[in-house]
Amino acid sequence: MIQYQAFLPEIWLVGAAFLVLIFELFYKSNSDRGLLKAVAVVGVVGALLSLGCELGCVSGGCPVQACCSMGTTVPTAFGGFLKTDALAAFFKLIILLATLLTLLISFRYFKANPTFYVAEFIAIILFSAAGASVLTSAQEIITLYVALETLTISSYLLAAFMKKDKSSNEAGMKYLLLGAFSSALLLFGFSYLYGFTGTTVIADIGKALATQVSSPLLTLAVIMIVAGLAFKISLAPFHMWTPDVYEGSPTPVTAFLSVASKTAGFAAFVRLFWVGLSVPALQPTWIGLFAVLAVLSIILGNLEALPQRNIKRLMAYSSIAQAGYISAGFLAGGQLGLTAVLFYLFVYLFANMSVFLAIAIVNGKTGTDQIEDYAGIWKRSPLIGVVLLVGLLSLAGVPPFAGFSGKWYLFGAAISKGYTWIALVGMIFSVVSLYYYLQVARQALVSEPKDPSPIEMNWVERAVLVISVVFIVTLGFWPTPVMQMAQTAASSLFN
Amino acid sequence: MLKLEHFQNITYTHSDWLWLIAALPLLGAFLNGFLTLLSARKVLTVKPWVNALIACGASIASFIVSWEMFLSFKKAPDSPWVQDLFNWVESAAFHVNFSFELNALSGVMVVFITFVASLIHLYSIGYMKNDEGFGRYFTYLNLFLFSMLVLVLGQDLLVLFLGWEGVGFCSYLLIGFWFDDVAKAEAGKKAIIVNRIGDAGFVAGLLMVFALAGTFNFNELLAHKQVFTETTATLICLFFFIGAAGKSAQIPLYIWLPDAMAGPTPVSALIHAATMVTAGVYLVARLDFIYVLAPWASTLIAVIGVLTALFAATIALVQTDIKKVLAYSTVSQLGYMFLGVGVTSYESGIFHLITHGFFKACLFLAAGSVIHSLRGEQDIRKMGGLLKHIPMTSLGFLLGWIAIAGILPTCGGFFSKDEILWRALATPNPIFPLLPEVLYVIALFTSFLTAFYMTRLIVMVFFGDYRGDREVYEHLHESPRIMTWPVLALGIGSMFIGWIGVPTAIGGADELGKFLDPLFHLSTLDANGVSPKLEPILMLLSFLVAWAGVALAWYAYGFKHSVSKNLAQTFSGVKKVLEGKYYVDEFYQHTVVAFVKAIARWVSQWLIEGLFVGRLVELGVQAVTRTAQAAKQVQSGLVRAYLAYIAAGAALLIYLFLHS
Amino acid sequence: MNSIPLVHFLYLAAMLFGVGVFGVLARKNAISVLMGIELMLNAVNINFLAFARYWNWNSLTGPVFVVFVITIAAAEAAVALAIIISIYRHLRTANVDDAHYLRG
Repeated sequence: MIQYQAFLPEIWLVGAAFLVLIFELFYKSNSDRGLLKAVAVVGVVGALLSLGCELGCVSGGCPVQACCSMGTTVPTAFGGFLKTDALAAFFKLIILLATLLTLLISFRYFKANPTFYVAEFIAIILFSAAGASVLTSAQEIITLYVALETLTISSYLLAAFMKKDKSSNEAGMKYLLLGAFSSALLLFGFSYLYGFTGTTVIADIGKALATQVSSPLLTLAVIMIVAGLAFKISLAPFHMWTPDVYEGSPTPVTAFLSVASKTAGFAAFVRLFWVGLSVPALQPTWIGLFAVLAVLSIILGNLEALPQRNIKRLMAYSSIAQAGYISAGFLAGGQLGLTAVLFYLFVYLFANMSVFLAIAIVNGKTGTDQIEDYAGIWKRSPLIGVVLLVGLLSLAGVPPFAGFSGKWYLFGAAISKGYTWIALVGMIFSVVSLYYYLQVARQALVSEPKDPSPIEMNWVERAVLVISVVFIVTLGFWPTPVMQMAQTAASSLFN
Repeated sequence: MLKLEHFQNITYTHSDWLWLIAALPLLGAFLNGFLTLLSARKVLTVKPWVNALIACGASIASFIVSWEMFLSFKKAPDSPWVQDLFNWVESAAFHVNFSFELNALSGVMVVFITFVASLIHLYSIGYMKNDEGFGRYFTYLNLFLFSMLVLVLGQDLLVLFLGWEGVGFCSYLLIGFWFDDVAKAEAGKKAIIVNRIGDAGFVAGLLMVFALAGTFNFNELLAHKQVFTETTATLICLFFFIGAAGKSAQIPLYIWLPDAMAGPTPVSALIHAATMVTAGVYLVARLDFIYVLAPWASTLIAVIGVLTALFAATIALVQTDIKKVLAYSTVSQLGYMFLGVGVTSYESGIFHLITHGFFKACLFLAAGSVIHSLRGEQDIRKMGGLLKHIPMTSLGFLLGWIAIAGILPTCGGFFSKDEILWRALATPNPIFPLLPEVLYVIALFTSFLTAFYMTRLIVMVFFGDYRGDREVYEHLHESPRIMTWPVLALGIGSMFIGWIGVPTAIGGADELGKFLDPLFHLSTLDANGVSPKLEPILMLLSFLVAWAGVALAWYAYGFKHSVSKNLAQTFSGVKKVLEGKYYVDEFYQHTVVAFVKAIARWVSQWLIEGLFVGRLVELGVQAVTRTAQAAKQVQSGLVRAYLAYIAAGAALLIYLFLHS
Repeated sequence: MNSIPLVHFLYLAAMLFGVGVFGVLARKNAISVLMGIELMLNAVNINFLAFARYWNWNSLTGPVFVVFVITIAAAEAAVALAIIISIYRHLRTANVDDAHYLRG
């Protein structure tokens, strides 16, 4: 039986995307497409609401009993291929919030680039969000693969969306070739995995492999899978696309890739590795693999960020390093490590998204992403100054911001499993990272602006920025509510 | 929807509304802060009465709630009310609940604090009228009240610490309230720096407690108190006492309090006399179960307390600023309280804390009213004969004077001070057998000095002839009722507040002592070979000593001015030292501050700037930049190179993991 | 057909995959690079079918996977051609080495 609750958020997203495409037909070419934006926002908010309702029902705390037609059972669909447990729901929450903020950033972007194809852009964002969202519930590797490709193929288009812009085209091309190549690696790994187990259901793979002894071919398959997926979350040495694509893509796309895409990648990793490949024959291998990749990413990401002049490129390297930190918690695993990963992703969502929104607002006014042009932003818009300071310091992991407690949990989990050296590398390079984050903050807060004209924003953007800052600060002081949610989510994996 | 019925039902039955006590002032602070911000941005104009209504309403409502709760709590005082608000910190080994506890001690404190605070809020309406920072002032005041209530109600050392830092911060804001004046801003800075030294001790104590017991919760600590040996308990107690000495202005950290008089006078009354500065005493009383394990630490507290009392009282003898006299008097009275808790008689310390809160708040408010009437004049040499002109204020001040000097056997200060004197004498000291007698004599002498300088103050301010500017004299006027009535309320209160603790030795009920006693069941009270029958006789003695002080001062300053002049000439050297406040500030300036500055200069210029930044960091930066530049080269922008890296990366991993 | 052992299929697929990787790495024309990727995907398809035959011809899991892979490869190719055409307009070439504006 198909329980549609398992993919209700995706229905909202896809439905909204189709509506947007249909309504577009009725618009004249130069009109303001306000309705399309509204439909898209309603779609994402509806998805969020249905997700909330589902979460409430599963935990038995939903105030509206009418929406809980199936009591507290976890909704599953398509013969168990999709299952929206608490873990999936937490990932979906992050992805949907990221999508909502991406839409907001893109509305700002449309203003600065009037020739933009609004309907297509919105629809593709919604499709790729739907792909990411399905990915988090996928319990089976065909589903996982299809969802992943829905996400990435849409992202190729998004990256290359500015047809008139050379760098956007280049970004799209690079992303496509590298992405397709790594997808092929992933698939090759999948094919061997299927060959060894005769099944594509992740839980059954785990059972079938439990009795296997380690063999070179199996290790090869695991390495291929890691390489293919590590590309998506931009772990070194599979990170080379990240800076070029982040710099060349339209800012909303960069924001989407850095949060939603990365979160989806981690969702795939968690499901595949901690359920399917968490067997004695393989676990040491892939944990070792991740240790190497995490440390490499932390070192390379932070080092290469230092000489950057373009803020989007800087954020790209920063996101590589962040992926490294998160991997440290991921490889520690268990309840502790996965809780830390989930919590950090949540914090990362707010910090990264608020910074990208600020970048989009500044770009809308000044038309540049160079860090030197951020001089004296504080005087032109105090709120943006605060957002850059708080968001970047949180990414650097400076107390009392949420990034600090997030890193505390990540490294704490790594240390508790005996990976002290990874935590140590992480901490040392967090100090290095402070240098380039503060470089931006200093430029924004200390220097004098060349052009002192104020930067305007509308009330929605203002509200989102303020809420993000409040979240980052509050979660730094009082992480418990989100931690509890993350704990429930992580423990649903082990039941 | 909050209805009155909810209130009555719930406050009488259980403790779910405990949070309301602290939440009301917080709400007030938020509202006022918001309105003030908006009006500063010219979004809307906020009338001062709105600010005043919010702030006073919050404070008075908080008082009513705590009074209701206290009454119903009193019916069954053995079971403390605990309310877990939320999970504050949760990490593997580190778990802190944000919870409040209403027990006998915190109950008494909460009622006392909200009552005094409410009166001072009302008074402030008159005092701060026409001040530009009216809204800001009330925001800070409410925020302070919130922090103080968190401090008192917190069931956990960390929550208490949150309140502790909160009150310190608000005190800093309020001392430097008129920050346009550099001296006042400096005073605020001094307060926060000196308090930082104390806080370092507090934090050290916190860390040590956690290392030993693994928890910050008072009840869990009490249950696990066997983990503290005498040595560790002594260390912990000393660390916490450093914190307490900072906050409660004891030797050697008292120097900030006299300077803190730069703030508005109601602030001096609320923060720097009645509530915040007594937090140290409260801390020691709250941790009584550790302090009784550490006789050395307790003895040290008693000695420092009594020395502070004496020391500050002597300085108060020659001060000429009305607020400075009261400030040194506060330091001196705090010394008494520490003497009380130092001899493990926690009830008497708390008793004096409360009576002192009443009469000192009264005195400060009255002093504020005097200053208000004289258009900001604070020098008592330019006052005199004010009794006729500002009768209401004078009456309030005289009531406070009676209470602090202890010259009427019914009034507040008399019983509480005497209780401390008696306990100091009656509690044997395990380390120095003769110490109780020494403590008693010094404390008794200090009470003589107290009566003396207070009488000097009132004689110079309210009696004799006016000595100030004519122009000010012309405009002399009584303060508005919103100011005089709180003064009188506190004055009359301080007359009767002593009745809550009339010692049993003279047939009293000692209600407060009996109420608090179960909480402090660990204190080792024992007659120091002194017969309890002696207590009434000693009371009589201190009564006479107080009167002697009053009489002498009145004679010297009221009738025979030549006597005071002769005194001053004969002891001119002593007077100079006293006027220089024993040159402690200068001493610190030339020793501690100079030393710290020298070290700081050495560290910043040679160690950090020269060696660390100049050599090591430079090297590190060089290395990092070189690597970064090299890595940048790898990022060639060629997609085929990237493809090759992916393939090479995968191949490398395969090589690494298939070979091992 | 039963006479051909599984390993032979796997060797074939591995070789095809290798050829695909070589094509991706060695060719400069974007279309050729794409063709290399298609070869890799086809190698995967052979693997899946071989394993499907080895495990259970009736379960359809392997063939279904192959169908999805082909579909997605088609979608990918469509997007890729669109992007390559767009970039051709700017650079007048489909040589991937000429697109190196973004770097560092």
